[in-house]
Amino acid sequence: MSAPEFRRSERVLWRRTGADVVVALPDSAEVQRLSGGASAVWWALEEPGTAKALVDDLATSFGVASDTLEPEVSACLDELVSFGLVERS
Amino acid sequence: MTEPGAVWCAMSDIAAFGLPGARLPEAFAPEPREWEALRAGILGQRVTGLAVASADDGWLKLDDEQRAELLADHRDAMTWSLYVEQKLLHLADLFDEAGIRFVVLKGASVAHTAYSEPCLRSFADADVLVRSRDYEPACALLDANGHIRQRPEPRPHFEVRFGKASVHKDPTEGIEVDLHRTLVLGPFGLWIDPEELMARAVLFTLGGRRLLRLDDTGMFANVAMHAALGFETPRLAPLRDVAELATGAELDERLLRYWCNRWHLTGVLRNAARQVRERLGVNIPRMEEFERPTVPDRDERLLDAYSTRRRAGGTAVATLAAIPGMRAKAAYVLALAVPRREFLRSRMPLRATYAMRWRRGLKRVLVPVDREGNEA
Repeated sequence: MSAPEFRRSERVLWRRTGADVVVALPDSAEVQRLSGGASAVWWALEEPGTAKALVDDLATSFGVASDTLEPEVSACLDELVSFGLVERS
Repeated sequence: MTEPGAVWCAMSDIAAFGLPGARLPEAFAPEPREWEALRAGILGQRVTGLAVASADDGWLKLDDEQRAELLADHRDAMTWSLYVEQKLLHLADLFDEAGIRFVVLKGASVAHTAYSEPCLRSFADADVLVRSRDYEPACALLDANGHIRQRPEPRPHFEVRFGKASVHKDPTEGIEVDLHRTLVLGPFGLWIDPEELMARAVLFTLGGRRLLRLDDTGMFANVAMHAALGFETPRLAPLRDVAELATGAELDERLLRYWCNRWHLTGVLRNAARQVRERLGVNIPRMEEFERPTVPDRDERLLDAYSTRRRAGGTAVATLAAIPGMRAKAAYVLALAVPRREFLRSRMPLRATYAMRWRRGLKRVLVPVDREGNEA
């Protein structure tokens, strides 16, 4: 069974603001700001990917070991999914 | 002639940043007072995204505090743009349910299609175009859904016959909806055929939804009209829109020439091209073509109504040139001469009398001329 893939929801309205991102869904009451690790995950999702692929990608970018990043990236992905900003298939 | 100041030059370079053919910007590290003026200009001209790109590039040398302020301004501008996009999607629900076909103008449609990234183009309101026969039903629909029209018509049905658009706002949101039946005020707005533009509309995606926008050629005509006619002094964001489409879009130049002949747009495109060249300092080969043709004298005088005579009610008088038939002209003049009291109060809140309005109106109509019949 293949690992689930994550992708940005096409319903998301978003803009780059420097290193951060502001995001909203069509029916959300507020615009949210993704910064730090959350914005890094968002940028890494320019192409859909598995959690492992995203972790490896970010680990390479930041020059750290993948297993160091894995818990944080997974938690971030779970949160982005719960907010409807990212979809898991 | 006074040389433009450093802030003025920096504003031009910001607005032109990244365009093919733009001059190489001079490095600029603003002093505190210069930064105050530049920041106000960036905000006022809605070019925060281009300013951030300029700072990232390094020619605009901001200290840490200045950069933090610029990023905060840009974040605010982008946040507002997202609220406007939410509004557009909500309008799409309303209009689709009511069977009202609409096209998204300027703002969101330009940001998502003409620019390399939408963060380079901010916008403050939602502009949509509907067919004339749908205009009043669309106004009623907005009214029924909590929107307040910001200014009454002079007389019933005035806007659908002679006007450009109306502004509606839901007070709980604060976002303005500019509901258009044509693209610009005055004679050029009446000469164009908006339904012909709408018939050529194409789809773009916003929030996972497919909405209509003008096709590239129609969008170019729209932004050129907006840049050349929308303001007494040209604004930078619309000029950038013109330049983006001139350099990157698939324009049907034969169609544009056809529209120029039918809709009197030769002078409009010429003025837009000239302002892009002069104000942004960008030489775009395609735009040079628009500066070549001769503009008929009458169109030159009408163009003047949008700039130097704008505040003196130039567009109101110039509109008569595009209204066919004496009865329609009479109806237009009557509506402006004897408007409803609520319109009068909205325009002249302190001294809303017909006598005051007629005195001002006569000053606009009775323009002194010299022996040759030219305005003195």
